[in-house]
Amino acid sequence: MHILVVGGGMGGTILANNLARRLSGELEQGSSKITMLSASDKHMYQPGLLYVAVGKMSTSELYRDQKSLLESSIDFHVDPVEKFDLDNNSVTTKSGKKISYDILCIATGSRGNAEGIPGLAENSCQFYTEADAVAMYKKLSKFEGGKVVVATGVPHKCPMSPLEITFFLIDYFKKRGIWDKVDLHYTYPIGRVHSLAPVAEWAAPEFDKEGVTYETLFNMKEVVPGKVISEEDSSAEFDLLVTVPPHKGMQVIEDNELGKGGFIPTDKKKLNMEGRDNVFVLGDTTNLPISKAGSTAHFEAEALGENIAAIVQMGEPVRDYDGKVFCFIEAGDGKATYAMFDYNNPPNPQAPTSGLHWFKTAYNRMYWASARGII
Amino acid sequence: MSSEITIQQQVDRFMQGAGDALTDDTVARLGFMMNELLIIADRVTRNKNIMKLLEMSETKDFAKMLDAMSVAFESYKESPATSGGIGGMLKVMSDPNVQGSLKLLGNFSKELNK
Ligand SMILES: Cc1cc2nc3c(=O)[nH]c(=O)nc-3n(C[C@H](O)[C@H](O)[C@H](O)COP(=O)(O)OP(=O)(O)OC[C@H]3O[C@@H](n4cnc5c(N)ncnc54)[C@H](O)[C@@H]3O)c2cc1C
Repeated sequence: MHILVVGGGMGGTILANNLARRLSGELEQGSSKITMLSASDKHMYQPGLLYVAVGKMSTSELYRDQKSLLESSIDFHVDPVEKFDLDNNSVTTKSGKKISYDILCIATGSRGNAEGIPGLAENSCQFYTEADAVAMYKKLSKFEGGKVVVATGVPHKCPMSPLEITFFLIDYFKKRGIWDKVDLHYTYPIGRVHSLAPVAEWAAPEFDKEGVTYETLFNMKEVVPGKVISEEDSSAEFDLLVTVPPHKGMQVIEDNELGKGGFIPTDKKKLNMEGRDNVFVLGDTTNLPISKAGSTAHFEAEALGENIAAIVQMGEPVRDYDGKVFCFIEAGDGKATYAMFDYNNPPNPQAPTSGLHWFKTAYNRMYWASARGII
Repeated sequence: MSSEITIQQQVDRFMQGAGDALTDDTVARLGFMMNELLIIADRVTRNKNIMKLLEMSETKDFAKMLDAMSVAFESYKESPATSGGIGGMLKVMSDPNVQGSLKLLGNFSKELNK
């Protein structure tokens, strides 16, 4: 049985390692094989970008060699997939190799698409790539006060990042002693300050406490120098615009017509691509209406690992993914809280504590053990 | 008012003290160390060869081998340089301990070549 994992980010790596552990006997005997194809030989801890943008982490801390994170039984190649031929169970890579599989797992992730909104890329700071996070930090460090707007596009990865960047900005300006010279204004596309109602209920009073103003039902339509204009015909003026751009799936998914916007239609419980029994999708690449988060990819990978191993060993999957997501929320002032939810249970965030902030700080360094499938 | 403090208060004070003493940097370093230790422990415990080596290390033979190595090393350091030449070689070869050692090495290389 040949299992092909496309994508060596959070989801693909955790899944491949999980499978390599579960199928160690089959891999040793040669009756099964796991191949991973990815676009890079480096693995980035993406949540660290948020910290880089406010000078709390350095870029060198974000990376490890992908190979060092994988079980030695996984056959890893940096050779991105360009064509998916699902009817014939094969993919073609950039180098021109045609690779057949019995089971295919797609975890190619998502990317910010600031270009989708006229003027956004040119007039805003972002933190979704290393270059953008570093550029944002440089801009912040020269900022001496004025109007700062945080604006969010949908869908986007990391559901908590609009809130977290706002709390981090407050901390940053306070630390530099210029908070009294800053007017911080937060906008959000739906009718409350966060997509998850309990999180919104917790966050709005926190904003009030700090004097952060907010406007909801604000969907960015266009950005011109100094002004962001919404679909709802309102606008916000800024000296500094920080954005969480709307996201798309990867181009290769769109080019192969696997799903609209690069997001593949996926069964919410079994995580197979709709209409395909031997193609599974995880992480940001699914079209599931749940958070595009590392923890989502992690919990999906664990469910899938168990199911694919069961398919190899018994011919049938054994469990459903329950929609579990766990997100820390950095709340500024050295404190954090978290939101945990699944398909049936909404989150219930509690008052932030320093213990949870330390937990998150430690987790930022322990992520690599998590990618290896240890924690 | 009693000057005794309850266990809960002691725990709270301890936690507050620990909290005040910690910095983000300390926690990050501890996290980094935990990460590395977990990865090493995972590698070691799932590596059959290392586990076998650990098992072997508990046997008497293994201890004897380490002792023998250290004795041999010491006596090598202390022994005068050999005179060399065919005569010197014959003298060394006629030592029954040397013959036994060569036999052991021979068996080892036979196993490796299997
Ligand atoms: C600033 C920021 C903060 C975040 N904070 C958090 C947080 O606090 N908590 C949380 O849970 N999540 C957070 N996330 C989200 C989290 O990082 C992502 O949701 C997660 O990485 C998704 O995993 P994935 O495997 O789907 O995709 P990715 O991790 O993005 O991996 C995609 C992989 O696919 C590879 N690839 C791309 N194209 C191809 C191709 N054609 N062929 C083969 N391989 C390909 C890439 O090289 C990459 O290795 C954050 C993200 C960002 C950017």
